[in-house]
Amino acid sequence: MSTIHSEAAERWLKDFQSDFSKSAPESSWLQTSRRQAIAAFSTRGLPTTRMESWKYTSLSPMLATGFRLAPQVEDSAALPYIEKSLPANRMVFINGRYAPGLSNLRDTESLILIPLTEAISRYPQELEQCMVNPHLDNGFSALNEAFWQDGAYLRLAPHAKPDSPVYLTFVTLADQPCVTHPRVMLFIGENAALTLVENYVGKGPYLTNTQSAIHLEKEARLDYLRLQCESPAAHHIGEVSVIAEAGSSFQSHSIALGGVLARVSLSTRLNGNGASCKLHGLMIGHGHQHQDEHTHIQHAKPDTSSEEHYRSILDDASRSVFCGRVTVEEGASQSKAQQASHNLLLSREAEADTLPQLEIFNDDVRCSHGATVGQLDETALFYLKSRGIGQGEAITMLTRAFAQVILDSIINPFLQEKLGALIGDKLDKPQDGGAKHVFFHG
Amino acid sequence: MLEIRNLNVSIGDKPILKGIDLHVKPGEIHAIMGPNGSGKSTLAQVLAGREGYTVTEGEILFENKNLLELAPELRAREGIFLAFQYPVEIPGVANIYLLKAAINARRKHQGLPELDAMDFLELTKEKLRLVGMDEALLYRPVNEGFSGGEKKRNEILQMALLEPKLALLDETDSGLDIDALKTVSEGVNALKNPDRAIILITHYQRLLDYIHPDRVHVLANGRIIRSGGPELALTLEERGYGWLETAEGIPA
Ligand SMILES: Nc1ncnc2c1ncn2[C@@H]1O[C@H](COP(=O)(O)OP(=O)(O)OP(=O)(O)O)[C@@H](O)[C@H]1O
Ligand SMILES: [Mg+2]
Repeated sequence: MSTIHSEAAERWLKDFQSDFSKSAPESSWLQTSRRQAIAAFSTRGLPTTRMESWKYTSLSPMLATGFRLAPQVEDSAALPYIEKSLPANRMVFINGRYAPGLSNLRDTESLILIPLTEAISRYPQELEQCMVNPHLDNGFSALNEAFWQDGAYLRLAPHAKPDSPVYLTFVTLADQPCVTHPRVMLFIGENAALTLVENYVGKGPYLTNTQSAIHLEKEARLDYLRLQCESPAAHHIGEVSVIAEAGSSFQSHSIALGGVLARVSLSTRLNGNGASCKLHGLMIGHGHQHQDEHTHIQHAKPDTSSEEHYRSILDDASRSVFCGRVTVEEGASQSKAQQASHNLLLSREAEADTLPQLEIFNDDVRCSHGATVGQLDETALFYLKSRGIGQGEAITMLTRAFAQVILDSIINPFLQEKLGALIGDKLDKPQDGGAKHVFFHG
Repeated sequence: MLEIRNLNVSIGDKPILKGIDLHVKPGEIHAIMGPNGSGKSTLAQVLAGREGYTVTEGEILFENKNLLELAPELRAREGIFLAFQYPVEIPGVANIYLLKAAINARRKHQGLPELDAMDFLELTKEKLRLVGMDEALLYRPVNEGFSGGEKKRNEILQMALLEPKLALLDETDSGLDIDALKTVSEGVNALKNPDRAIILITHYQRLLDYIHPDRVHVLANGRIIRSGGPELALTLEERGYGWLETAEGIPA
């Protein structure tokens, strides 16, 4: 670890420990888990570019910032970020704390959606089992485990298939640089199906360091839309880990629009026969934005299949990193893995790095990958202009079309349309970061 | 309407057009024929404003304006339309969206209000019938996966909607079956009027049976080596280009 990294890590730890206050007394296993996480962080520290998986994403600018744990703020301060019209179920968090006044929960027998702190008192044994993470493999997950305040707990009963999506919105309002550590835990029961939107927004300079754990039982299905619309001055570190049991299917859309630096790691373990995942991603960068999406798909059982399609659209001096690691374990015969990454550069200074990593330990599998980095097609541009469409509008049309290919795979038509509009806005008015993105805040 | 004077065009260092003169009056139909690689598409693309060509000499006037100074989108809005020899596929852009954007760009330029959704759809359906195109193609991405003939019809649909003053049709007849050739020709003929001019680039006399040209030009090796009336096309069909090129002292 470099000096700047270790100094920052030490300072963060000291500051966070002095800022940390519990809303209520915690059970001893939880206290132990926090202590262990602090110890793990002290050993691991923060990732550096010397680590293979952080080679293209430098944290140095972020480490220079003296973040403190986010203070509590009035719920009403978050109102501009909340869309009023969205139906239940929605759950809103402000600066890492549950905001009941802005949330609208339907706590039914089939769908349990409650704050994590409440889940811990309702189901202590269950949560002790699944929350204590024995291998905190990097500094950020250790920090999250040590300092999380609250989060969302969702359990969908077997065979339940609610019609409307669940929205989880995390708002951070920062006057001074501050950090939140939200957590999300989703359990989708056997043969149940759900659409869930996880959305990050905010104002000012801050760091969101978030962890989501998702478990799909047999034959379950989850459409997971992760929308990163952080403020232009924000940093975002997100980890999502998914376990998909036999016959289940996980479909994700990771949309990265905001932040100055954002890194999402999505790992999916296809843990039972016939489990499948389709991972989609769209990164849009302007100015000096740096968007990093790492995925790891583990084919652990036979007949599992994965499809992956990530795209980036980069203007100005922005950058994207896509790293798609696919592991096919020895037992995963008859599995299929497909990966595509396409990157559109709108300026000379923009840069896209795309890295497929295939690790295949079984001969009886089909894997393919393809990647492109390029500019807008001149011929298509001329074709549009020859129809009277101005240069600017033609560029916009082609750029949106490039993004649309990812949105087309969003099944819920309402979400697809809303997201299309949101992305249109981001492409048209890149400077209007977070505050503009009031959608999904519900 | 269109005056091309001594037009010389190169791609890189390679001269492609070597002194073209062409005058087209409103209401006229001109056919340009000529061997492969002679520069016909180059001429059409230069008229439409494609980048990548260097005009080394000469000028083009369109309604007495210097065309070479206008950006391609302005030429289109002024009323120039090029039906591409190879229409471009644009994944992710719905055909109908392009049509609407194109029409409204033109209308805005003319100081007309934008068409509302209803009027636009009505107009589009009328033109669809004219060119015999399936409505489903409106909602697919522009030209993506269209058959050769569907692409050509789509070009004519765009033309019918945009009602250009000068239409350049670059081998719109190639790849059309016999019935399609007839419908597309009818579509073009429906556009004919005393204020409009049409330039047809074609290899086949067959098209000229449907659309009757006032003038026929032969472009070979970057020059117009012969111009004549409709009968010239018939002679070409019979004798090919060889006799002309030798007659002009240009090796075949
Ligand atoms: N980008 C380019 N670079 C180099 N040469 C080119 C380029 N584009 C066209 N040419 C050349 O210019 C010449 C004229 O091409 P053009 O497409 O205008 O011919 P054409 O008369 O339309 O032929 P066809 O009847 O086959 O359509 C050809 O020799 C062609 O190879
Ligand atoms: Mg040609």
